[in-house]
Amino acid sequence: MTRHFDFIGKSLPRTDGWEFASGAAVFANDISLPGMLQAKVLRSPHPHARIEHIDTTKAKRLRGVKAVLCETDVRIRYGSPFIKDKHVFAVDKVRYFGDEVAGVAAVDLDTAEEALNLIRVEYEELPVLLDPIEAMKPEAPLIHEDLMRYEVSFDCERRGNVCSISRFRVGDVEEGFKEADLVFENSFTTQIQHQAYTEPHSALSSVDLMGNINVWTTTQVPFRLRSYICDALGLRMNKVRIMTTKVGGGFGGKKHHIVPYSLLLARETCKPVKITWTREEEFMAANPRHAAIIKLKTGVKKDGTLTAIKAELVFDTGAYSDFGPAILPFGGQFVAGRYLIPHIHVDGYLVYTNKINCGAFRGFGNPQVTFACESQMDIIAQELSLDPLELRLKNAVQPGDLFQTYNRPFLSVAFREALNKAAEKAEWKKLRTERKANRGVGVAGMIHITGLLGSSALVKINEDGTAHVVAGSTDVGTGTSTAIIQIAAETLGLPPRRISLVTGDTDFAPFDAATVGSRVVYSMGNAVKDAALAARRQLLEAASTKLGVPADKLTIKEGRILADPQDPAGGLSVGEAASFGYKVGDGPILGTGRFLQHVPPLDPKMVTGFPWASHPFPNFVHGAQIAVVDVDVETGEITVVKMISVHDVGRAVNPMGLRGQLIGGLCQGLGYALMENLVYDEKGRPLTLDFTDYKIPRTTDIPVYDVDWVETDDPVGPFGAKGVGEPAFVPTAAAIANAVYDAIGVRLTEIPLTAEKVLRALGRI
Amino acid sequence: MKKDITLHLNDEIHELTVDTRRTLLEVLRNDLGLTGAKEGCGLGECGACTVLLDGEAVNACLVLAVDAEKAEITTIEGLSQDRTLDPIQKAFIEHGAIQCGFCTPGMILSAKALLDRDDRPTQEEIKTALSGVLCRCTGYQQIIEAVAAAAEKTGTARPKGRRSES
Repeated sequence: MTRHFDFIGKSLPRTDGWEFASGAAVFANDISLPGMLQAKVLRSPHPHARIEHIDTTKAKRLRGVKAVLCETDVRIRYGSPFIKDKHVFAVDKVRYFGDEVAGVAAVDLDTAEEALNLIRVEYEELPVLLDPIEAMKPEAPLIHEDLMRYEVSFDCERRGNVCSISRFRVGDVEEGFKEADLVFENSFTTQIQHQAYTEPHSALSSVDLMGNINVWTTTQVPFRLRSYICDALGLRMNKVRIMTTKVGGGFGGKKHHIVPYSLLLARETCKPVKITWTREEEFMAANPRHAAIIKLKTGVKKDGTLTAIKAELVFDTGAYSDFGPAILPFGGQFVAGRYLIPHIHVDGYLVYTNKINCGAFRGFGNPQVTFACESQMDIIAQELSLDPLELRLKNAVQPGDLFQTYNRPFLSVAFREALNKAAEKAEWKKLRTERKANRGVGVAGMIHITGLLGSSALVKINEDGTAHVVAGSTDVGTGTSTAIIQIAAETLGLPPRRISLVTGDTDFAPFDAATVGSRVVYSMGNAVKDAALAARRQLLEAASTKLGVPADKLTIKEGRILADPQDPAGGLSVGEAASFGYKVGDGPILGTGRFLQHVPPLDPKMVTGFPWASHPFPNFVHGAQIAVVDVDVETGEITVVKMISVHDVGRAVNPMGLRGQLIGGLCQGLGYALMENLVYDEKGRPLTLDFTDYKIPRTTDIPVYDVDWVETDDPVGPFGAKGVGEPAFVPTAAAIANAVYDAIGVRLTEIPLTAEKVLRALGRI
Repeated sequence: MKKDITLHLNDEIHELTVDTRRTLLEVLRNDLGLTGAKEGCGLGECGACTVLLDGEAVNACLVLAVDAEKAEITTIEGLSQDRTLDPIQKAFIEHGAIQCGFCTPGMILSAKALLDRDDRPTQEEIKTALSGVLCRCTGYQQIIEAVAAAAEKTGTARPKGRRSES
């Protein structure tokens, strides 16, 4: 059934687009306050060392330096929410090249930088662990000697340098292997990928005499940031105000990390303090995607029916745990969910090494697992002489099937439709049969979440019939602000131009969990819809009293409340109803809304080591992507000619914005597949500290994109919509690797797929 | 060392005293309060700081302010005249070419430099002209489409059929 919408499904241009196009948009580093100081952080020049002594005397004496802080001044645990293993400034030890040792606030950046050079730190170097497999060995030196004593927030199984172990058990995997005709065992490796948002981290903090704290920063998670700061510093939330500036790209990386370095120095100096990371610091010390080693053992019958999967995941978290304890099982849960596999056995290990502290990045552990699983699907198809698409279609989940890792049915599924539609758009059969030399085509499927945790919102109807939506979720550039306005417009019967969004301030906006997990349109969208429905009810009640018509006989169209839809000039305007409301009705029109989707906790017999087991993920999306590549067998260079992407979006709220999300995900996934890699030398020193050495796709690297979607009209999503922020990234690398195999007959199991690896695989070097 | 300089910026004249080590980007952002040009890397790799010097797109982080004295400088703030957005700015909004928006000023000014010298660029010429600006959000497609659409609009006012000779 086709539903009619006035504003949902329309390609409304970004309501805030003019700010960016004109240069008016204010990012964190664009803000200055009178008397503001600049801060810099002293970073460790060693990947692993004991701090013997820190002498800040000379730095403090430098003219223009207002404060210097290090472990002897503040020992505050901050940054790792699940295993409290990190301090703002390193205490006793540094654990990677770039670890924060001290902070300086000075009158200008030159002075702050000069002061860093005057801080004397004596280190005793310690053995360096760079390989997570080596780090897992019982005899390996410990990176965190106190791991077993750290405070943890979940059932954290840990030992040695393994800071968290996650396990999934469904059915009996050995039984599943017995049922199989063939068992495939393969190992896959993925690299550290940096979010490489174009805007570096920046934060500005001020503290007044009464201890009220104001923070302006580029963050996806203003409320979570507030909570972390309050926890770490023992503050009350009514004293801490987070103001989210424009966020110049997040992708999971813009969270809470930078803020204490400005806040602690602001508290120390009683002056506003700004800190902005350089691009070098970003590549040295942010929170990129975990490198992973993934071993898969998969049982399959001769006809292609999957019977069992056993996975061992090793995620290299670097120096600290950060979000790793959640990222690992998040990825682990998705060994299943695309295909029905009755027996599942996953052991995941999160391992410390002396490298950059890895964290959340678009896909959150899923891209690593999907690269492995979807590559192996093609290995299986090849061995069974099956078309890779047919193998997928044969096993793909359908409506009514369970998400087996949770033992819970899907709410809406269109995986097969996505696969078929992608194949049709790509002319899959033609490409597979009409071979062109060194050209290949590859497919990959994916499952991801949409939504988690709670959101709340307000809708205020003004006396002139305009409205304000107050919603605290950050628009990190994905256009959620516009989508939220469309959702409010559709619910209220007001044109979008009459609705403004108030956001970016934890003092003004009601609570929102975070801009993560492809959740804003889904979760905040539902909260806004709920608030708009409440405001609509109040408007109709006010109009009902005024017009003497029962509220259920009234409708709102183009800003007018009508008793007779055939008479668009009749009734009264929304403004008149709002004015009536606050003068003689039941009061001003104010809709409050909130949303949380309840899901049963996971069975501890099936899942352990999952920090969110008590409130697991409520809903899922599927998608399919196809890559067409050319491989130059002389140079090893891979050119992605075309990428086709089809995702279940539930409902396309804004097709233009949606297209941008899918294309953007494909491009970032292309970088993951082919070029991006954060590299260390054998001593643990980072080698990729700028955009020359850490390459991301430029205009000249892009393929032809062909993106589309399937609408499942999800029963819970607002107007049926589901999240689309992360999915297009997730299967891209696997689709490209499968296409490369199809082109040259050589299977590459390690990304990025560099020319060197291609030539080695071909035996040419 | 400080030096008195005169900058011809966005059709205005600015007289100021600057440290000779300061880049044009620093002076624009810190001394003149024009924060539309962004610092994404400080090394000339990302293009977020792109401004026009005599109509050419350059990285303001690689130009010393004292060396910009003789040029006509245009920043993103100078592109919209009389409260009206430039056709390229409009096209970026209408074609979904803006996501996080951090690269947008650099992209728009790079496009401006291109369209001012060639109002009918090919797809490949657009890609080349924008290749100095990194965007991490859009995958570039809608940006390229926006520039092509802006070329269509501005190009119709000029002789048709002319192609780039390069």
